Amino acid sequence: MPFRSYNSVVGAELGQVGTSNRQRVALILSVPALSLLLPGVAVEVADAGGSGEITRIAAAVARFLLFYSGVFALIGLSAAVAAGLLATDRIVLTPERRILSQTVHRTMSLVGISALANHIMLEIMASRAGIADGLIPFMAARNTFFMGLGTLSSDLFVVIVLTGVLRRRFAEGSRPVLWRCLHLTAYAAWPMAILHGLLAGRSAKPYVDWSYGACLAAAALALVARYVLVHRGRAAMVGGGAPGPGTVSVLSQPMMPSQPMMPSMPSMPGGPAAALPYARAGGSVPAVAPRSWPAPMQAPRRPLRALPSPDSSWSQSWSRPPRWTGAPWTAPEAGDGGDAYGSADNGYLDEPDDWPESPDGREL
Amino acid sequence: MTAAPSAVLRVGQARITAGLDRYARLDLDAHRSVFGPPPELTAAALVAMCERTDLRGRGGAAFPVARKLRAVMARSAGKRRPFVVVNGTEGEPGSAKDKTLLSRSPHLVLDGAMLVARALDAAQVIVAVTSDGPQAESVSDAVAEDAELSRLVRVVLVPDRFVSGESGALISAINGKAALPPGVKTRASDAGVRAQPTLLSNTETFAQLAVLGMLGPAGYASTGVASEPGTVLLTVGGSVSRPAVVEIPAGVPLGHVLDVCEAQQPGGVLIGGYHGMWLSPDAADFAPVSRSGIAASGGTLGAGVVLVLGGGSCPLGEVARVAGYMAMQSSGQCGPCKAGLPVVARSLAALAAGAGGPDQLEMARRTAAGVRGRGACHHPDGTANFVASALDVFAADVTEHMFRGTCGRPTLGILPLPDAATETRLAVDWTRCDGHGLCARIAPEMIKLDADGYPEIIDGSVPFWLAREARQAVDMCPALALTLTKPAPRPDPPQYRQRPHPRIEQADRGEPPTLTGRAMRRTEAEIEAAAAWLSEISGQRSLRA
Repeated sequence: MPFRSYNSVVGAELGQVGTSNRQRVALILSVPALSLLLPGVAVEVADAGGSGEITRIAAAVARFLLFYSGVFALIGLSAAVAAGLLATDRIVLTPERRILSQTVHRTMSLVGISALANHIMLEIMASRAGIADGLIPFMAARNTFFMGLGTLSSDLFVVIVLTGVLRRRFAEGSRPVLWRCLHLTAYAAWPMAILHGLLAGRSAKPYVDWSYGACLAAAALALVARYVLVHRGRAAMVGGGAPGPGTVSVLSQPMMPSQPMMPSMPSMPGGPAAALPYARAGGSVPAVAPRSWPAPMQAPRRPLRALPSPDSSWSQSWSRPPRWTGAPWTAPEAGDGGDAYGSADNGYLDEPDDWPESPDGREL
Repeated sequence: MTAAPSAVLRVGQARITAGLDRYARLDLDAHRSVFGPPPELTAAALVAMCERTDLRGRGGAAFPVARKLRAVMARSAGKRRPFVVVNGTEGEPGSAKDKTLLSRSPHLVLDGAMLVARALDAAQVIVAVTSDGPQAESVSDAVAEDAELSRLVRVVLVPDRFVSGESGALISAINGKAALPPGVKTRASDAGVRAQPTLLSNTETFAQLAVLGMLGPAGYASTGVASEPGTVLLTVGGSVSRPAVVEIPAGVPLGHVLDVCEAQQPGGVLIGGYHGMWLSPDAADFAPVSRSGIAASGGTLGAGVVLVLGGGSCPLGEVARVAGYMAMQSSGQCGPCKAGLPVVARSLAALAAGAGGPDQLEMARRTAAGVRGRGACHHPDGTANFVASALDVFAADVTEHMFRGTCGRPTLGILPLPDAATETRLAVDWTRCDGHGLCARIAPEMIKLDADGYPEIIDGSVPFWLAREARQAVDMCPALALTLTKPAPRPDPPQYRQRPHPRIEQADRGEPPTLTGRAMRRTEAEIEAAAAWLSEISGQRSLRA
C-alpha cells in the first residue's frame, strides 16, 4: 500500500498573512443580520400567547426595543460620525488617539447599524410602517416627508457601512477618491436621521432637541476646522519636521575635505576635532564634533588606508572615475598596482608608503 | 525556498554522494547496487563507533552523536520505546544539501535512520520535510518500496520557515503544536515526540551514520583529517559558476572548493549560512574545511553553507537585504529579537542606501551585540554574528558608504532569499501617503517614520506574527495608501520523476583535480603538497572499490 501520509502539514496553523478578508466581512455583517432576526423572534414568542414567564419577558423586550431601538440607532450613528470626524484630526490628537478614535468609530457604526436594522424590522412588524418604507423613501401614508428622510438616511448608512467594511478593496483599487465620496455622504445622512428622529415619531423632550442641535453645530464646526486648520497645521508640520539647513551634518556634505577625514588617523595629531575644519569655521554643525567615532575605525581587521587628499581625489590622472559618481565598478586587473584581490582596489585607498607609527605603539 | 543547486560535485572519495554520478535518483535497487546491504548494529557498537570517529550532528550545532544516543538509551532504559526524527527541514535559504540528499539518495538517509531505530528499538521513524522541493514525494516513494520501512517510517510536512528547523520547534510541530521554538528548553532526548525520548538529528547526520555503519570506524576514518575523520557536505552558492552540493574530505582548503565551483574573486565568503560568519577572502582561501579549521579562521562551519560574494555587487546592500529577511523571520516570541533585529536591519539599510552615518553604524553594532543570548533559540545570536562579522570584513565598504554614500555598485541579490513575488508584502502608494503616521504606531516592528513623518518599511515579507498588525495598518491608513500585495501562487515543486536532475557532474573524473585560478598564487611547495594529498585521497574512486 503506498504510503502517503505526508499530505497533512503537522503543527498548529499560525496566522495567515494573505489578503482574503471574506471571513472578516461575513463576521462583521453577521452582527446587524442577527439584530434583524432577534426582534422577530421576540415578537413571535410574545404573539404566540400563553401566560408563561418567557412570553411576558419576550413581550417586554419587544416593547422596549420598539420604543428605544430608533434612539439607540441615532445615538450610535451620531457617535460614529463624531468619532470618524475626530479620527481625521491631526492637530490635537496623537496617532495613538486617532487609532483609538477609529476603533470607536467602527464599533459605534456597527452598534448603530444593528440598532437601525432592529428599529426598521420592529416598525414594520408593528405595522407603523410598510415593508416598502424600509427601502424606498417618501412612500409612507402619513408623515411622508419625515418618514422618507429616515428611509433615505438609513439607505445611505447601509451603503456607508458597506464601504467601510470593504475599505481594503478601495485601497487596493485605483480610485480611493470614490470611497471617500461615498463615505462623506454620512454628513448628509446624519442630519436627515436627526430630523427623522425628532419629527417623525413621538414628540421629544426639549433637552433632546437642544442636545441634537448642539451636536449638529459641533459637527459643523469640526468640519470647518478640519478643512481650514488642517491645512495650516500641515504646513507647519512639514516646515518643522524636515531638517533645516542648519542641521545638515558635515558628513553628508560633498566630500571635499582639506584634511583627511578619517578619525584617529596618525596624520591628525589634534584628534578627531581637528579633522573637522568646517565645524569650527562654519559654526553650523555643533552636534558633530563631540560625536564618538564608530568602532570599525578603531579596530579594523586590516590597517586603515588614507582617504585621498582633495588634490589627488579630483586630479585628472585617475585611471577610472570616482565611484560615487555612480560609475560601474570594474574588477581590478592583475598588475593593476594593488593586490590581486582582497583589497578595495579603487586607486585611492592604497596605503601611503610613509605610514607613520602610532604614538602609543598600538596597531591601528 | 530558493532554486536549490541540483548539481552535485565531489572532491576525493565519494561517500554520501556515491552513485549520484550515474543516477538522477537512487531507488532501492540502485541504492543496494551502490551501497550494498543495510548495516545493522547493536546500540553499544553504534555508540562505540560514533565515539571513535567523534561523529557530530551536521545541522549546525555539532553536538556529539554518541552523547545523544547515550542520553536516549539512558532515558528509555528498555522500558520506553524512543522515536527517531530525521530533520530535513533545512530552513536556511542558502542550503540545499539535505534537500538534495532526500530527493536523490533517500535510501541512504533511511538506512541511517533505520540503523539507529533498530539499535534503539524505536517505535517510529519520523522524517520531517518542507514542501519546497521533491523531497516529500521522493522520501514517500522510497518508504513505499520496502515493507519494513512502510511500517516504521512516517513522513511529515512542516511549515516552510527559517525557525521551523530548530529542534524544539520541530518537536512542537510533530506534537501538533505551532512550529515555534519553545520558551522552556527540554531536550528531545528527555521528552520529545509524545513526551517520549527522541533522537533528533539532521539529514546528513543519518547519511553519515549509514556510511559509518557500512565502513566501520577504520574505513570511515580513511579520509579526512585525524581530528575530524570522514567527509563533509557543503552547499556552495553565490558568485560561483557552478553552484553545487559538494562532498569533500574534511580538511580540504576552502580555496580549493571555491576553485572547483569556479568562484569569482570574492569580496567576502559567508560560511555557516545566515547564522554564520563572514570570512575575508584571505582567511577563506586557506581555511581548512573542518570545524576546527574554520573556527581557527574566525568562523563557524555550521550546516556547511558557503556563499561567495563577488566583487560586482554592493556587499553592504546584500547584507542589509539578508538582515531584513532575518528580522522578519523572527518568530515574534522574544522581545529582544523581534524589537532588536528590525533596528539592525533598518540601520544597515540606511547605511547601504547612503542615508546613514556613524550613528547608524553604531546603532547596528550595539543592537546586534545587545540581542545576543536573549531569545528562546539561536536566531538572535546567529543574526548578530552574521551582522557583526559582515561589518568587520566589509569595513572598507562601510566606510565608503558612510562618507561617500555609495560604493558605486548595484545590489544584485547574490545572497539567495525566497522569491519576493510569492510573498505578501506591505506596499505604499506614495502619491496617496500623507504622512499620518498611524501605520508606524500599529506595526512598529515593520514600519518606522523618517524625519519627515513618512513610513519606512522593512523590505521583506509580512511575517505571520505581524499579519494582524499589517492588516490593521492597511485598514486604518487614513489616506488609503497602504496595501498588502497579493502573492503570486508558489510554483509547484519540481517533480523528480518528470524532471530528473540535469547536471550530474563529478569534479574528479579523469585526472585528479587541477589547481587553477586563484590557487596558482600559492607557493610551489604548497601546490605540490596539496596535489599529492588530493591525488592520494582521490585514489579510491567509489565506495565499493
